[in-house]
Amino acid sequence: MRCARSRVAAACGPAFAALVLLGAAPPANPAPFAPSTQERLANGAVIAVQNTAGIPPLIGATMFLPAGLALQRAEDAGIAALTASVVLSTPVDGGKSVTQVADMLGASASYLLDARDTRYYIESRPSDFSRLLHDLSTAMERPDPNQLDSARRTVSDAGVAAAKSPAATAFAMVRQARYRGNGYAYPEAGDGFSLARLGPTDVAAFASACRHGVGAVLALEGAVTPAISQAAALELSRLQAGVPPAAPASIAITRPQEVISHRDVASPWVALAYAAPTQSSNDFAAMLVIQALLGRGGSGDALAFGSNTALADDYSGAFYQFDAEPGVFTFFLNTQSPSVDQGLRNFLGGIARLRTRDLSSALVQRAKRVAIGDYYTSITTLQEASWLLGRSAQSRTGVAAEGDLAARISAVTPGDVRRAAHRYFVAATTALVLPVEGDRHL
Amino acid sequence: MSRGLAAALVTCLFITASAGAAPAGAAPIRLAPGEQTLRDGLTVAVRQLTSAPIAAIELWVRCPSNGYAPLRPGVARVAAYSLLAQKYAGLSLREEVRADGGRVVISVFPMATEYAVVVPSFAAQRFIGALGKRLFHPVIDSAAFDAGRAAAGAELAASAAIPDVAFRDAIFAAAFGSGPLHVSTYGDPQALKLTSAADVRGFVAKAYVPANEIAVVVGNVSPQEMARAIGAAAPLPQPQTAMPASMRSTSALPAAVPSVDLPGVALGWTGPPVSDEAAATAMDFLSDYLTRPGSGIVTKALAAADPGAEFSGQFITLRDAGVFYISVANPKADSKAVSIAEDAIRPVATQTLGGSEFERAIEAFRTHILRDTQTAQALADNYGWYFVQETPAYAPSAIEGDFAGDYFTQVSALTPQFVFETARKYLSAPSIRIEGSVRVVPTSAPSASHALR
Repeated sequence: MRCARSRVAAACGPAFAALVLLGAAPPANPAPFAPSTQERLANGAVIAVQNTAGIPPLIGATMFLPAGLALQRAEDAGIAALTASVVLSTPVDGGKSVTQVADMLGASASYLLDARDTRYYIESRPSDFSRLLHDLSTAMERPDPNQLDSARRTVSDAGVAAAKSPAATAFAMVRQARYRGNGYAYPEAGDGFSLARLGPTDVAAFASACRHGVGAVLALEGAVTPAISQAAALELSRLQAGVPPAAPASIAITRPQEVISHRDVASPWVALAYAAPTQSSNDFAAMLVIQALLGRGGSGDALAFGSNTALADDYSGAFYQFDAEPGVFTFFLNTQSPSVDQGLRNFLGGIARLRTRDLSSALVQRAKRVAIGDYYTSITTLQEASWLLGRSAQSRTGVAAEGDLAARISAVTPGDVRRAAHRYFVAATTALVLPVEGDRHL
Repeated sequence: MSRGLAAALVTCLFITASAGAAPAGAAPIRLAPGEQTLRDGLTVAVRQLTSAPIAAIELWVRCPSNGYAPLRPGVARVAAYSLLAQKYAGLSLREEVRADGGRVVISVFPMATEYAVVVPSFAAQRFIGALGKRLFHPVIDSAAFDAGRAAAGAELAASAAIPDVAFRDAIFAAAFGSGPLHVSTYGDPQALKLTSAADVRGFVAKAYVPANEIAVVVGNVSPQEMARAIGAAAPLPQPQTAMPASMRSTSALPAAVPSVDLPGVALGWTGPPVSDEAAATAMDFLSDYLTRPGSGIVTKALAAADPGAEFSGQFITLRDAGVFYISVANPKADSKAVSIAEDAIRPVATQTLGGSEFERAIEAFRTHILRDTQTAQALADNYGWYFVQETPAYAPSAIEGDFAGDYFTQVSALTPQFVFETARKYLSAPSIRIEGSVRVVPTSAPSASHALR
């Protein structure tokens, strides 16, 4: 159709740009979002609809199932990913899997995992949507054990690919340390041994245990007609009533921790992680302002906060994980020096300024403007919009949350910022990914 | 969704108040719905899209990436980054955009430069002004030039390590013997070193004129307000300099093809010009069928043979001769990858697609187009790209309702026989083969030389 962009700059950006984007806050200006509705079904499931009909005539739908990584145990780590992969490859429609049917139609069917949920995503023309959703529902009910081996290879390959990113590796180490006792401590693909041990009964049990209406949300975005949302509600009502299993709480972190790994990286990567408020917390908006204050990776102003203090040149970006319980705010540094000490010192100086003094109103005002803009510009695709709609539907205020957030950000004061930093930026977990040089570890 | 509903929700603005005739001497070009040419020659497209709280504001400048005489490979990129760095009231465009949580992307193509700003929709009007003062009335001081040249140099260095970029540049260098389509948009270290601030200012003075430009706004905005803002920012008419010619390669191997210091292989085919809309659409369909990530026939064949290979491929629509190419980058990539790709392509050039498979693939193609143009920026990009190719009405974005518009009309007219004939004509054998670390091998009789403007 047209020439591919040559986005060299994008390709050279922080390796975890995607993570940062995901963490980019979700919305004080006139009606930025189309009206939306939500309805709770008899089985406890919620269907949320936002009709943004027009161009393009497409529907994007995210199915949130309370089957997230937090439910994993050490012995079955990888189960959530394996189950989702088996579901998508289960033959359901003339011998074809959901993914194959989607491919055939030019549509897409995929899954993503976070701490709380398995999120299936379907994107298609309206005429194909009900068929695909029906196929997905059927596969969720009866995941095919014959797909286990190929699904295991897919999950394993994805795990190997993820491990190549030093930022992702550092974040995996953060999770392992900060979520001890909770399944979010373990990688999506498990540890290799756990993935290899998983069998058909494990997948069937996990799929069944998590197919509950309570906690499930189907978020429909785009050219959604009443007939389509009725059909979708019928599919959603196939989930069994009842409450899904609860994830165990992680062990509280009260002291600083340090974890080190040596990898084939050119220069050290550091992830510095602190506790953070979840999306439902009153501190959420203040933390989004803090995220905006930090700037994007590579910003020379990062962590200076208007001071003349030495800047944290090594700061590469931050990832605010507000989906997990508790949340975690992770700063990434990629230092060009073999020693990480100076970079860490600069960085911790910035954190100390944030914790101990009120920033100027002008600075916070500018940060709020950035935070609101970050929120809006993080929602460009149907997939992002349906994710936001679903997450909002899960919140205390329901789908109105997506429209309320900008006002919440606007209300943040310098005192709120300091208090949030003071409250959360203690007891850091430091994950170091250091280069291996011959036999000598730097 | 009904066509009527879609039409009601998509507001395409006709800026009639300030519209005028195209500049004297320019060929009449049919515009897309929602587009208009202002009296100064600036083309404008504004479109409302309510699916996200953002707006994409783009300015496309039709210009050669290597400049006008004297040629300076990479000058368009230096100019773009210099204009991006130019400070007004102490702020560069990037800083202004960032202050509103937005992002700015510059893309330099052989025959165009694109500025894309994505901002919250409430800030759109302000950024039309910000872009206008920088790009409609361009000034580059020495600090901005220094920053722009440094940024272009950094991109040049980085581009060499990106297989898709390196192979695509090599394919184009081989397909075209001269002109902007022959040279990398990144230039080369020597050319960048020789490029002076005066060169860049001279280039901008010739290139950044209204008749070469389209301003596009797509987003959750008031079309009337956007139209007023563009009208207020619009430049004065200025003379237009012709785009230098690109010559399709002749029997001799091209004089200079950039080395690809990466393991891998690329194949290229020269296709129809965009003015042959039926054939260009057939090539787009074939490109989708063969090379779409995840589902393309070639994509799947290569992935099955070597899951670690980095595959890229597409048909690039160009005004005078499109280019279809595929590249496979991987330490293992070798002649096996070439034969796999050729084996996967051959059937479409030797037989018609079966009726049911053809119907399925066409429907999938329509859906892919919709999915690929679902964001404000993707829609705006399409308006810009087809403006540059001088076929704005043919832009896939230019639709009202379900599958109306020139592009989808052409899609609807495709038949298995026509697609087969197009494939047989253009895809029977690759005309260019690039192997890592560059060996250029002509694999078919060269076509007659002809000039591309």
